[in-house]
Amino acid sequence: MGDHKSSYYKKLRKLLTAIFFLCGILPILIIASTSIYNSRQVAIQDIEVTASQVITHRHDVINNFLKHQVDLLSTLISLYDAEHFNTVETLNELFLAISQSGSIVDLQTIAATGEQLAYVGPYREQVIGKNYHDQEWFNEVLVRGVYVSDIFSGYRNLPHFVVALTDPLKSYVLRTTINSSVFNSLLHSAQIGAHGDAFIVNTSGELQTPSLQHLESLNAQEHQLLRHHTGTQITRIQDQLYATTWLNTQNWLLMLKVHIPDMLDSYQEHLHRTIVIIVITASVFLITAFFLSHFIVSHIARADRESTAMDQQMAHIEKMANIGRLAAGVAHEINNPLQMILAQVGWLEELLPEEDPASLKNHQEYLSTIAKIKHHVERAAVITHRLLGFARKISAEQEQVQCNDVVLETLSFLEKEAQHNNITITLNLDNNLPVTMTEAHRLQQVLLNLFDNALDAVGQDGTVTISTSVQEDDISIKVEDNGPGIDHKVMQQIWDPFFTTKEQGKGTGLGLSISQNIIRTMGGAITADNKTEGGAVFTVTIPIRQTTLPNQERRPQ
Amino acid sequence: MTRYNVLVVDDEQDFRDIMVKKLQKRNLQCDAAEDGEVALQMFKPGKYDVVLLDVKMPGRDGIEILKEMKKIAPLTEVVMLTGHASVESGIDGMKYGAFDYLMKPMDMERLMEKLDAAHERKRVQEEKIEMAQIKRHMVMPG
Repeated sequence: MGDHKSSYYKKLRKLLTAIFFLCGILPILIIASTSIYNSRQVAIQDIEVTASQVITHRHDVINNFLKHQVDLLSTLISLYDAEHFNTVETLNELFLAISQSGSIVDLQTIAATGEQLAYVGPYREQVIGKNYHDQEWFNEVLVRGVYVSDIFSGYRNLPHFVVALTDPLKSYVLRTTINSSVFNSLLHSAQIGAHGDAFIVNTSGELQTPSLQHLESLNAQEHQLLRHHTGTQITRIQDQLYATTWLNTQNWLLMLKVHIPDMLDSYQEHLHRTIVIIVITASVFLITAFFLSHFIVSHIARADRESTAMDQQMAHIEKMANIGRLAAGVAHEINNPLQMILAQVGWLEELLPEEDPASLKNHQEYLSTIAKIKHHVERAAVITHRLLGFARKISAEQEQVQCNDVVLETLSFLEKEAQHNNITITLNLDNNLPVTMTEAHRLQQVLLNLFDNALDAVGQDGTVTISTSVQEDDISIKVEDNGPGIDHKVMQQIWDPFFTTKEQGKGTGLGLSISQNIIRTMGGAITADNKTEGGAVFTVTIPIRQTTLPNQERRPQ
Repeated sequence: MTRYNVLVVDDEQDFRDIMVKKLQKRNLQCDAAEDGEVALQMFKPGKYDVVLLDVKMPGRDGIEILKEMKKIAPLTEVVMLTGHASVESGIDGMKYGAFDYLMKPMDMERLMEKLDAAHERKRVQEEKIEMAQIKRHMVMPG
């Protein structure tokens, strides 16, 4: 039964711990995960805003740069007449004037027929005498008037792109090569995050400026982004955030690529902080839940134990009362016929002297038989009286009790056992002890328990001292032994129901618990202590009362 | 020669019989009744000096019969007989005017003492009344 109970309490403790823990931690987990999710969303939004700002700015810068080059050439065309561009000398002057910024590499004049008229720049050897009539860009210029080419290697075997303009009459074409490094550098400041990228692609997805991450080509998903759109478009593909915008020429797409995890530093920090807080809170909850459930279960266990003890005590009292009633009933029933026998014998005894002894042969025998019948009936009567007395005591009626008598009567039950174990019982009774209203039978139950414990503690060859005295308004009954005394640990549990130091099956562990209960209902107290010279001493004090307690009404029989 | 009249009321036949025999042997005029109703039928003022009345009887119990008898003849003394378990009723009976109570089993000596004492009291009371009446006659002759 004990194992079953303890496993039940263990289960209960685990269940309570889990419930308390979950109740505490679940809301926190929900709040924390919401907060983490939100902060990630906010961080990504921040990245989008940053990316769109950067790309808008770069878009303006690049457009301005290209516009500037175109404006420069158109200014030259409108300022100077055609002859001025046809000779290398005059072209050289112009080149020197406009190449101060370093963004222009060369300047070249081509006739409408495609024939080169003049060239100023570092690639004279490669381009001299070339005819551009078949070049696509050349035809484009003639058609549109202004043209910005894709990057191409051309005759120079170096990636470059050109800006070309024709005069309003379309009689010649002025062309300049843009310094790739100057142009490329315009994109460098567009990089966001360590793994960020910024580059320009043409409509067919070829990279026009070198990727900062050294990409060679776009992947399939990135190709999807080549759709024409106005303004800035933000697209997320997995961990990558793309910001794209078409440049003014509509041939180039400026693409900004942000690796999202690069930009989540503050989010990561928030995440770590939240996790640490959750771990700390969880452990605090776990510890609290553990101790709380431990506390609650131990209380429940104690309450269970106490109620079981109470039940057993009640059952015991009930049993004793039943035995008492039974005994009283039997005694009463037997008593009546006994009394009738006695009365009849008495009548015989009265009549016998009237007979003449001489005529009655067995006169003497009759007399002695009558005496014997009387003797044995009286013996039986003593037994029935005892039974009736026992029943009376069990009915827990208050009566005038001389505690010394109760001590002596109780002791008479144990005298044999004490003698057998060679234990000396010393009595130290106060002869002037007053009587008090109390329940003798229950007091006897307590004393019997204490004496029994004392004899058990002494074991063999010891002394048990019982003393009574008056302490102010109380009667004090002391039971001392010279046994081993009570261990400090045991002392704390000594009054607990079911606590016993006796070997299994010998003690119920209820004796002292019940005794304490009885003495308390009498309005007294019971204490345990160790004597300095060794051994234990139990002291029972009960108040001296001349009248019954008002709440204890007499029960008529 | 009978000293005085006694009525024994008890539900047990053997007890009544032996009581009657023993009391008659001690020169008392003795009648017996098996329950309260019979006892009340037999009971007349001045017929019995002392009643020996069992507290516990089937039908009407001793206390009730005691009250009735005290109404009919207040001077008649009643000694209650109680069992072990009915001492309280005996004490109650004294509150309603019983002379005393005796716990069964009683020995004859104590019974006789109680009966004699009860009779003596009745006699003294009657004497007092007689004296009072004589005094009254003397104060107011005629």
